[in-house]
Amino acid sequence: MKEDVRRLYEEHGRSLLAYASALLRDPSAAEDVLHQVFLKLVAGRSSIEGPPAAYLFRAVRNTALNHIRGQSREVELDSAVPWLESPDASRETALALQSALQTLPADQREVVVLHIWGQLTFEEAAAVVGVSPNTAASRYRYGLAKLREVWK
Amino acid sequence: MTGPKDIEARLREFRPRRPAPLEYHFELRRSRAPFWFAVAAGIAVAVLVGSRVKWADRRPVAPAEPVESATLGSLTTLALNDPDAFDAALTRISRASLPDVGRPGGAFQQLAKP
Repeated sequence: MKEDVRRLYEEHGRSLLAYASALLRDPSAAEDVLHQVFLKLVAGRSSIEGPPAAYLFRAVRNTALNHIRGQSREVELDSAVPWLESPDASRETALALQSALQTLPADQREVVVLHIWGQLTFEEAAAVVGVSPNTAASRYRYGLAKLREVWK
Repeated sequence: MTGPKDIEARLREFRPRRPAPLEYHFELRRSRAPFWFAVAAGIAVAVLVGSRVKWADRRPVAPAEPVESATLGSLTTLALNDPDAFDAALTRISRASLPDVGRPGGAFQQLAKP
């Protein structure tokens, strides 16, 4: 396996998995999407253009959206699988935050995840999502405001 | 909790779960590979081996052509990793192992006799 791909996986795997989980709401499908992206890199069927993090988040997004389009019907979501680890190591705390995140509109949720756990700037997050930086920042603010209401 | 900074700080205390090691998924992907690839490779090897045994004593002495060694494992690996190379290998092997149907006095001509 290519060392540089392994290094990218170690470096960005957590945040990419969080992003895919936020998009798909299905942790096992999210993990599958993540590995499709990396398997393509290892096999040389895709190559990184530009900053690696931005490329990887875009690739995960495109693969996740393809996955959603490929679903012929709504699948039963396994909401009891945490994709976040809480500071107190409590599964319930992690699931409570995930549930709160699920109440956000998808476009707000993904910017929140990209900025908080992907550590992308609004410019970078905007490029991943395909909107202007102002729109990304606005979605983030609305997302946080709603999260403050629903997440106790 | 009052402002966005507070909730940001609280969110950042959470950490995304670590995905399974990449190697694990390589193995999983291999085990999930289309079953028919393995079946096709197995059938191809069985046919090739069978035809060698059956036709060994009927084949004319032909100019020595290097026969590619093929095992089920090597063909399966090839089929999974590089389908085009797998096809090419089967073509090469079949040229060296299958009977020459156009050979004068060969099996097909004998069978075609009324």
